This record gives sequence, structure tokens and C-alpha cells, in this order.
Amino acid sequence: MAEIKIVITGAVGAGKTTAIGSISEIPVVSTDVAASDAVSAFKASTTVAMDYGELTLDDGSKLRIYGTPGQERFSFMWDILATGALGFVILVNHSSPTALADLDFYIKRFRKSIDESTMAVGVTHIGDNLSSMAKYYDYMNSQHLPYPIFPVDARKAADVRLMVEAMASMIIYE
Amino acid sequence: MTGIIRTYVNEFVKDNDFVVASVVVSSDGHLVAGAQKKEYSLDRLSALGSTFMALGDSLAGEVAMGGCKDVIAELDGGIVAFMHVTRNVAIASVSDSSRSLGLLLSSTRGCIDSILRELKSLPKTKEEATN
Ligand SMILES: Nc1nc2c(ncn2[C@@H]2O[C@H](COP(=O)(O)OP(=O)(O)OP(=O)(O)O)[C@@H](O)[C@H]2O)c(=O)[nH]1
Ligand SMILES: [Mg+2]
Repeated sequence: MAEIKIVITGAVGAGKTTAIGSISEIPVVSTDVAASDAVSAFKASTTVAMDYGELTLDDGSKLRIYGTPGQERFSFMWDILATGALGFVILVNHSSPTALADLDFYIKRFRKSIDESTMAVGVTHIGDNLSSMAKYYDYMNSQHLPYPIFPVDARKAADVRLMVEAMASMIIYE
Repeated sequence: MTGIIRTYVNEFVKDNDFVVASVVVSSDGHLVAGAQKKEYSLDRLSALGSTFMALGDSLAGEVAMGGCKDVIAELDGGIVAFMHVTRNVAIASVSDSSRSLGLLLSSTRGCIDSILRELKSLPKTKEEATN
């Protein structure tokens, strides 16, 4: 059965570590440490190397899911983790004033790898405010990026699973 | 406090010919104090330092072997040793001699001990500080 490497990236606090923890069927490999800077104002820990979890899909394919650190000073890990990935999920924190700029930044940063694989966008911290999704669709259209966008609560396994399963079927059937 | 740590790191790099750089970093990769004889980016070295230590700690957990004391990278042109100072602070020392492993570890350990002694002797309460 297929083994598929996917990478979840995006800004600090978007929910990468939480999302992998929500769906992984193995104990996750986590490298979160205490945040000592401005990050500590909104969460206690931050990822400094990677997250790793696994999920087996109904058809037997196994997803190997890697999470990146969000902070740019760990960008050397972005390149390491992107190698060999067949799909990228970019998580965006809708409650952040820089949400669109963050999405733009991560898409541009991973663009080369995305062009050789595929991607999906997950909008977190959006709750039931689904009319706000429009600005993300508009952005993706304006950039001619024909990829799916999902509202996700990273704490909810069903949300995250739906998104990564959609990504896996894009990889398997495209 | 950072001032005292900086003094020890400066002395450590100055006193050991083979040590070309050393950084003390927070566990989330911020430079606390650093010294060097080269022109490295100490900020990038700091971020890498916290990543290596975090991977070492994850590895120790994975094989259920307690904590990770140090992570050693043996390079073609030298050695980099990453060691915990406290749970949330680490030190990375760079040597340009690939045969200096023992010396690098013991001298870095010495620097850590000096920093820890200083941390222990700090007044713990306001009253102690003003006495
Ligand atoms: N209210 C709300 N909280 C969310 C949602 N998604 C994630 N969270 C919370 O947001 C925080 C995300 O933290 P992490 O998972 O550590 O974020 P990260 O992207 O891994 O961050 P770094 O590793 O620091 O880059 C956690 O406290 C989650 O519980 C959401 O949709 N709504
Ligand atoms: Mg994280």
C-alpha cells in the first residue's frame, strides 16, 4: 500500500502540532519546548524541530505526517522536512491580523515544492464564521492556485482528517 | 545575569585555542550569550542548537533512556557539541579540531559548571538581594 509523506506548515500558533496530535494513530514525536518570547503570551510551547505522526486511511495507505516549526529562525528545518513530501498543508490562523500575509508568505516559501506536488489550505480559529472564508478563496483565485481550502479546528480530529484525506486522494488519484 | 554568562562564555572561547565559537541559548533557540573567533551567525547557530537539543531529548524519550545530556556532531573540519546547562538552557561549542572531542566536552562541562555555580549563588529573594 502507498506510503505518503505530507508536511503541515504555517505560522506560529496556526495549530500544526495540535492538528497532528488530533489525528495521529501513534504517539506523536514532538519537539515542543517552553516559549521564552512573545509567543508565550498566547501559548506555552513552540515547536523547534518537527512533529511526526501517522494515519492509516481506509484504503490502507499510510500517511506520514510531518509538522514544521512556525518560527522563521527554524527555516532550515522547512527545507529538510519538505524533501520528498507529496503534499503540503498550509494552516492559517484566521484570528491573526496577518492571516493573509502569512498564507502568502508560506505559499511563496514552499512554492517550488508545491509545484512538484500538491497542497491544501486549512483555516483555523475561524469557528462558525464561514462567510469569512471568502477572502481566502479570493486570494487563492487571484494567485491562480487551484487548491482546496478547508475551515478546520485543529483540535477536532474529524476536521483535520477530512482535510488530509482530501489531500491524500489528490495525491493518489492525480 | 546575561552579563555574567557572557563573561564565562568569552573566557571559555578565549582560553581554549581549539574552541572557535560558543553560544548559550534558550530552549526555544534565542541567543543568551555568545563568543567566537570566526564570523558565524550566532543567531542561526542558536536556532540550530535548540533544534539539536530538542531532537536529542525526543530521541531519549523514544528509546526510554531518560534525558539527553549532549548531542555531538563530528564534522570533517571539527566538532560541535550541544549540551544542556539547565532544562531550558543549552550551550553549543564549536571546535575546529576533529581530534578534540574529549577536551571539547570537558572544557564545555567546565564552563557549564561555572555558569551553574553563579546561578546557584544568586539571591533567591528580594531580601537576600538587598542584604
Ligand atoms: N479556538 C481555537 N483554537 C484553536 C483552533 N485550532 C487550534 N487551536 C489552538 O491554537 C493553539 C495552536 O497551538 P500549536 O498547535 O502549538 O500551534 P503550532 O502551529 O504548532 O505553533 P508553532 O509550533 O509555535 O509554530 C492550541 O492552543 C490549539 O488548541 C481553532 O480552530 N479554534
Ligand atoms: Mg508546533
